[in-house]
Amino acid sequence: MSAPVVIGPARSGLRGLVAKHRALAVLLPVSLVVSWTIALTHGDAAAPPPAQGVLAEPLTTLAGSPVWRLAWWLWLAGTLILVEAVARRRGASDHAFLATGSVLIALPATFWAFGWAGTDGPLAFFGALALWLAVRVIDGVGSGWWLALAGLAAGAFGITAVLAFVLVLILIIATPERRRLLGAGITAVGAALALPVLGALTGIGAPLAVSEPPTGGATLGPLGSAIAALNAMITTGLFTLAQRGIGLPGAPEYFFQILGWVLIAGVVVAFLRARRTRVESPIVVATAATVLLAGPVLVIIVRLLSGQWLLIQPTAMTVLLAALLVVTATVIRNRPAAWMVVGWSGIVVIVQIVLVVVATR
Amino acid sequence: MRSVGTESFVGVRPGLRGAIARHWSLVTVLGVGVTYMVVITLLHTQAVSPIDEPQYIDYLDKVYRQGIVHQGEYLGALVRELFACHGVIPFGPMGPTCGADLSDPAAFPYGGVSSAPIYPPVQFWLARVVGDVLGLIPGVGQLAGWRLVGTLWMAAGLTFCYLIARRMGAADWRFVAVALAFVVSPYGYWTFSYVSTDAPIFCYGAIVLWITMRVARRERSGWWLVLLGVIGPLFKATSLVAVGFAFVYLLVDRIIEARGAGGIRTILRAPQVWLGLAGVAANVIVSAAWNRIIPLLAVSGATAEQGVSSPFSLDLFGQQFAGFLSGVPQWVVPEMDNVALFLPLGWLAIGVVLGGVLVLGRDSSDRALPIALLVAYLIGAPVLVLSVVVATGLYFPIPPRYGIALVPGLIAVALPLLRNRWATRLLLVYVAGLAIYQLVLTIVLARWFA
Repeated sequence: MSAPVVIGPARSGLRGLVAKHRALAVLLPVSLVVSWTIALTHGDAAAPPPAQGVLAEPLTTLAGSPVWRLAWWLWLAGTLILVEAVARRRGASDHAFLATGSVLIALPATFWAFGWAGTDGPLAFFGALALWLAVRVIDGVGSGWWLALAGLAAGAFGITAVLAFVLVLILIIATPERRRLLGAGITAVGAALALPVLGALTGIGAPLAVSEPPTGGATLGPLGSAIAALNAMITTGLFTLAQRGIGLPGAPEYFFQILGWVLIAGVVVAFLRARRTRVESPIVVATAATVLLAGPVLVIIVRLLSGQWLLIQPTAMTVLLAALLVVTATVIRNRPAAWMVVGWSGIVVIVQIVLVVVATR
Repeated sequence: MRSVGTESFVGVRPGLRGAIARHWSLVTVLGVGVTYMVVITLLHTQAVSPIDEPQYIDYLDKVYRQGIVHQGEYLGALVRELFACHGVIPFGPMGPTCGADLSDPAAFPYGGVSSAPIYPPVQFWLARVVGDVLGLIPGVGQLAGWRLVGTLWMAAGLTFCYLIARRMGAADWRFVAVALAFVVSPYGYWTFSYVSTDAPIFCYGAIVLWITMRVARRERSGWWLVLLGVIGPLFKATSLVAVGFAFVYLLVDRIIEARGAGGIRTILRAPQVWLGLAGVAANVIVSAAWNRIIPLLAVSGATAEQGVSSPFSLDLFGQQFAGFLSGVPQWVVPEMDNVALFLPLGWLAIGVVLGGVLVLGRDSSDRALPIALLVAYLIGAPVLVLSVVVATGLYFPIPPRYGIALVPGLIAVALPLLRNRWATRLLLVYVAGLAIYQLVLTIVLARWFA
């Protein structure tokens, strides 16, 4: 008679938690080991990506600090937890999340975002948080004000944070709850813009990541800017995240390319199959639309902030990573294929670690 | 009365109108696709495509006189003049100045030596005869006539793709959108609007897939695959990709069917699998035989040095696994096609090939097709590389266009994935945008290379 009493509390505790989130229970420790190994070793192998937002200066100072580099795993862990939560809410299976979570750990974008104490890691987290809060609010759980609060905090890490909240706004518009939640969505976008605009007006921090633009920072004319906006529609967002390599000497980029293919395949196929009746369709449509809009939105924002039609190549597109992973998780139905993705991610992680160690020495 | 009226209507006009109504999607694809390709082709000047078109034009020029082009043979006067006076897109004139002495072959690309003898003559015989007839149409001319043969190969290939789409119950707007996306892609542009040896291989790939689907359902004898295996290399060695895909398809189909029902014995006893393998063997044997014949017909020891081969290495070989689907398989001529506008075509290809397997559930009607397509896209290029290494001892990076035989499979897998009507409409809008871009580009090129 006593057995059920003992099992009951145990199941509802850690064991119960692990049983309910088996994939996460595997991915979190793996991500810790991988993230710390890379963070500890690759400090000298490559330069950290530039920080942006009102916190750019302190984060640039902290970027190389080993302790802070290790602490940045927490953003990755948070992203994994939130991606799992959203994916499950939208019907993704355990093995589908295991596959996409493995991709997140192995992706070159992750290598750059969480290896240094920069702004990309927090942006990835806030991208996931925005999505999670939005999905909960749409499902009738929680308040829309949390979205605004998250937007305000996310904006501290750079202007690209606004993309996550543009995605949320499109997501809200794509659902039957649009009348009820439209105000919350618009407020969240405004909140995400608040700190970057304030920073730009007061000259605090760097509103944009200082990246090497393809034109060398040249000012574009009206036609050039229109073409730049159209090009950015395609070459920013999905392309930036999926096609990026790790850029270390001797890195076989085609190894990493296949992980990018998983994201591309996920987003493309999810959009091709989206039906009005399916629960995940609004998130699919919102993600596909944001992926296309991200480039032009950024070009226009740069125009407003700098007064010039500058072509930028943002390093902080990781803010959309969570959405791409969630959408991909919702389309994976084939278990052997999911295991193949997990296996390939494992191979890529091993290659990454070997390359980092070699490059450091 | 209404039904009688309908019957009498069908009865009176069972021909053209009835056929158009039944096959409206094919009629749309052929109507739009052929019109677009003919316009593009006729807009071209005598400047040649960089995808070895001068080599093929030289072959066509010599077919009536020689039957074949021999190994070690120099390019003829026609092509030398095209090089010097009209140029190669987008690089411009090559060799001596137009009007100067063109007799020194060493002044031309590849040392003036033809690289075309590696091809069996069959497709050149066909292209010359049909192209000459097309060239008689007022306003066309000989070179455009030869180029228009590509449009015929495209139309024939698309017709077989339509037959495949009908089998899959998707011969509707989805077929129109996906088929035209291929037509207006750089893949379609360089393959069908210039003289290209890849054009018949697209048609061949569609025929092989259509037959294979029927063989898998026991509607056709597997011996057709053996016959096709023999015919393929008479056009081009890359036909191996098509019969290899067919074999993998049949094998995977049998494996899926045999799970829990006899296991490996059932697979080994399946004649379809053995005949599929025999098709691959036949293809390899004919290719090998032709490779033996080429040196026997040589007229000199001169070779066309293309500068693309290098010693074999594992790293270079590894890259080939991503070769056919390297994110941008639609880039045929990087100097021309490296624009953002074409990138979504690559996404579509990746989405279909990889996504087709990711979404595969137990309820899918044809589970073997997406799996076989993924396998073929991944190992197709490495297999071709190995065959080249075995034959020549040199590593030759396989361009994505050598996987053109897999495009009918790509179209077939894409169709059932397209369930979102808005996605189909968006794809059609994108196709229209690409078509306009290609037309404008062709007009600009025609002015530059006038």
